[in-house]
Amino acid sequence: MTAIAVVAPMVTRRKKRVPIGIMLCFGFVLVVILAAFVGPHFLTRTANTADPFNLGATPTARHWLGTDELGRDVYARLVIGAYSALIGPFIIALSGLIVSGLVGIAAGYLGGLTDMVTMRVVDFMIALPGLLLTIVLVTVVQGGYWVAVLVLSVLNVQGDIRLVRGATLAQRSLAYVEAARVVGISRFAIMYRHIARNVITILLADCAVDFAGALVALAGLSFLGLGAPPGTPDWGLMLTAGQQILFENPFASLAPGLAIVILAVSVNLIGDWLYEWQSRVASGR
Amino acid sequence: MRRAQGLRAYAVRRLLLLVPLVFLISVVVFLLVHMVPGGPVAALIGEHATNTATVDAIRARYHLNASLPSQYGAWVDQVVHGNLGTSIFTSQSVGSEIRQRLPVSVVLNAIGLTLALLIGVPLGSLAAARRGGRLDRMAVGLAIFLSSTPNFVMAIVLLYLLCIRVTIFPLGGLGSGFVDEAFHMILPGIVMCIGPLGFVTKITRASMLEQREADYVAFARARGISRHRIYRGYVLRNALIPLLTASGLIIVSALTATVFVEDVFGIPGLGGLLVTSIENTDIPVIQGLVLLIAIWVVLVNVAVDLCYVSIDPRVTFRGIK
Repeated sequence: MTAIAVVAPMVTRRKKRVPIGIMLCFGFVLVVILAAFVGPHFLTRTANTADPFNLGATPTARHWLGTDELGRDVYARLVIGAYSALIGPFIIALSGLIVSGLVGIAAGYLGGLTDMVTMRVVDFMIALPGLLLTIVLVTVVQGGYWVAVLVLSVLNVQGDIRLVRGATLAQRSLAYVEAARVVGISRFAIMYRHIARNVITILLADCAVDFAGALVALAGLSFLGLGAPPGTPDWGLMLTAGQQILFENPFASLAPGLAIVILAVSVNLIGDWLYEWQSRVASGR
Repeated sequence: MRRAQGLRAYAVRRLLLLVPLVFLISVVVFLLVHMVPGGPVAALIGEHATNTATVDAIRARYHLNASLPSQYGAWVDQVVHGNLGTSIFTSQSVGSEIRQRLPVSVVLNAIGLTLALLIGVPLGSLAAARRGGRLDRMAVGLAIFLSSTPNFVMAIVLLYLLCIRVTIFPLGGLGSGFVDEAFHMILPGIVMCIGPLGFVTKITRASMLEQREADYVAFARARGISRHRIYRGYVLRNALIPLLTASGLIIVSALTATVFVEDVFGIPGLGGLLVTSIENTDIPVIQGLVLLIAIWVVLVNVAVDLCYVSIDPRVTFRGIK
């Protein structure tokens, strides 16, 4: 008896609070966003000035993370590189959100031919080796960063569509949808006002995972010299270039590497947490 | 008996579906040359196509003056006879380049996938058995960490820690002699397994948790079969089915990892070949590799499908004649 009395309030309290780990993840994402948008104004060193007397130097008070193979300040490049690390994945995740919201809900709600065609396309796309395909296309078309973003956006959307369609199927049989139909609300409004509101959290969770995946994929392309143009401060590019001076200044490649990992892990954990939060809410606990 | 027939019919149908798919792949690979800015001549001899005689020779040799379909026909004819063209960069035949480098990549992939299964399946099942416990939380955290860590970052970090900070492993390359070669493969092999490992752990855990709740587990418990035997003999076997369905994705992710791992560790395999041909925009080599990779991915997916339907007795073939 006492056990129940003790356990019950703990459960209600735990439900409301955001776990400390997730707070840290949000914190790190915020730091990266700040670095990308206001960070450059606070830098004391410029990212592209070479210091010919300090090639691949270890960290000092002057260069917080040392210098790279051309003597440029690694810390400044890390801060400025945050922008290209965020913008591409953001566009990819956002396009996934919009397209899968429109197509996935329609496929799930309307069913029939719309659903069949959509699922055929999605089934075909899931079998494609996405990153390899992107590597080849970007090489052949010689497009660079934005072509990579475009190709990844297209390839990324299939998982989102599948998920939204599934969630919509679950919603379709619920009472509120039927009620809306009986009252005479248009199909469009049912799909994109009522159902959309109920699948948006799960979709956001999925987009967080997409963001992390896109971050890693774009960094990988830059790492192979296919993403950001040479010379720009980009985490993937810094990683490759820094690998050459791993003996002299390991931070030149470890710092951007760790930045990629921590950002990807944070965003993934946030996505997981959102997903669980949503399923807790859905199951009414 | 009827199931065996159904299975055979399904296999035949699935294999017949390969015909249009392979056709589609071949068209795309053929068209890669035409997608290069500057056209096929630039793609086939590099960027400086100024000499008219050379250009004409190339156009004649690759039938570039003919119509697109007949160009395609000529190209398929060459490919079927084992001629994938010549590398722009090394002037070697693409076929022999690929043949030389294939074995290392196969070994690397095999090591990565084996490690992922050997560690991931027990870890995932243990985590599921102790759901909510410390081991479970550690396994879940590890899986998330591993599946969101890019392998090129992990490769560089390990390279720094284990080859430069503490010199345990060689910096890269292949080594000579069997023992030395095997030693050179350890670190790349470990990096190869990290992505698939996260995935395998996650899937095994999720499907073990699902199976645990199944009715047959309760019945088996009621009949007095030991927990251990239920897990080993029933739950695990059923739980591996989702792993089989996902194995196509796992194998493809290992394939992608090959490119980065071989690049970081300087291993002369197919991934390294892809990276060099990217750097030199060596379209014939890229075409050859894409063809190989596409056919491999298609075959893996077909094999996975066939394995799945033949293993899972719940799959019926009622719809198929």
